[in-house]
Amino acid sequence: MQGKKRWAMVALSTILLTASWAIADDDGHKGEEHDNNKTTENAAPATVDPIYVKECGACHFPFPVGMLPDRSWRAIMADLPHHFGEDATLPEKVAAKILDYAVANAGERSKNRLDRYVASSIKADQVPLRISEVPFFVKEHTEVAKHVNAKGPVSHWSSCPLCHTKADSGSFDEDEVKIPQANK
Amino acid sequence: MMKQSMMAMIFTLMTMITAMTATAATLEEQLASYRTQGAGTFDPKAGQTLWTTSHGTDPEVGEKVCTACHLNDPRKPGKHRKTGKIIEPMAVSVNPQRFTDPEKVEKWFLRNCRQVMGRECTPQEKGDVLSYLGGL
Ligand code: HEC
Ligand code: HEC
Ligand code: HEC
Repeated sequence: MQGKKRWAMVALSTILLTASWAIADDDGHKGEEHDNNKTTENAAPATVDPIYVKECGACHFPFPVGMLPDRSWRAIMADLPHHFGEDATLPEKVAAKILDYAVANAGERSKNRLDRYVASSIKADQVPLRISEVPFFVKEHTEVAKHVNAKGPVSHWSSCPLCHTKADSGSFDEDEVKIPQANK
Repeated sequence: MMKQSMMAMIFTLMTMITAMTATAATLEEQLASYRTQGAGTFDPKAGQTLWTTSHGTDPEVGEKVCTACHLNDPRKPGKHRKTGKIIEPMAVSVNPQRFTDPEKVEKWFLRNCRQVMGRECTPQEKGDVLSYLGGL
């Protein structure tokens, strides 16, 4: 049933989306504005704060804030100078704005179905700093864990859009996943 | 046809020149502001040395050197060593967007100098680096 055609489309859109994510200027604006407009019917409804995308998308994909609880964002924002081994210091005012945005749209408050699964899989006394260590995330990704390694095309979990082809528009639906294959 | 493409070319050239002079002005302003903070004459060679000098290895993040993310040839795009995210070229000649936003420049100098050298860069060092990256 049009199998080949469909795969070609999927492959093409993966390449385009990945490229647009990779090429997007870190602190630049063009790419991000473009991505925000590209919202599809599958996208999460919440609009992403442009300051969040600019600052928290500088070194990696700007993770959806609905995928961690309120307390996690407070912990992350409280120690930006020691951010996973990197110095991600921000001027206080900018950091405060980002924290407001993250807290207002954190897992507890999100209306997104997947965000709620993520949030409800975390125990009340846990403060995860990584989405990639949240129980729901780990469970969903056990089968693909072998694809994430330094040698392959996906070196870190933080590169969500390499597999989630619509991640740039906020959508993580399982139907849109395509694992990049290593070059022979 | 010919006329149109000529016009297009001239227009492109003019836009490029405008963009370049605009950047040059901002980079000049940036350097001037370092001078008011006590820096002297800027030396692109010293900037290049800072750019390529390694400060050892951190067990968590790897080699402490600017080129771990930005490459020895700043005209080429780099790659964040830990996340793999592409970093556009740092040389102003290939990326006129560079160093046009003083807040952004200071934000990254603060982070990257502390990360690589274990301390903040002096106004002299920042000016040396920018005159290196601006003159390539
Ligand atoms: C200077 C670079 C840099 C900046 C800026 C930055 N990060 Fe990070 N971040 C990293 C690195 C490096 C990692 C670890 C990546 C890895 O191990 O896969 C990381 C990881 C994360 C993770 C965990 C990812 C996971 O594994 O689930 C979260 C959440 C995160 N960052 C949030 C933020 C937020 C919020 C901001 C904005 C305030 C931000 N980051 C800005 C470098 C940065
Ligand atoms: C190596 C590829 C890969 C990477 C990288 C990756 N994922 Fe996934 N993700 C998958 C696969 C495969 C599934 C499971 C799809 C299925 O069940 O059919 C999945 C499932 C999910 C689901 C559940 C989807 C659903 O509809 O149930 C969420 C949410 C999710 N991923 C979020 C993320 C986030 C956030 C990141 C980045 C921090 C990320 N993923 C990184 C491959 C990946
Ligand atoms: C861990 C990776 C990493 C290292 C090491 C690193 N940088 Fe950066 N640097 C970045 C990223 C990411 C950006 C943001 C890139 C962008 O805006 O495209 C950046 C941006 C900059 C900027 C601002 C550029 C602008 O457009 O205003 C300057 C200046 C800079 N770096 C200088 C340095 C210097 C000097 C060193 C060494 C002391 C260094 N960097 C080491 C990752 C790094």
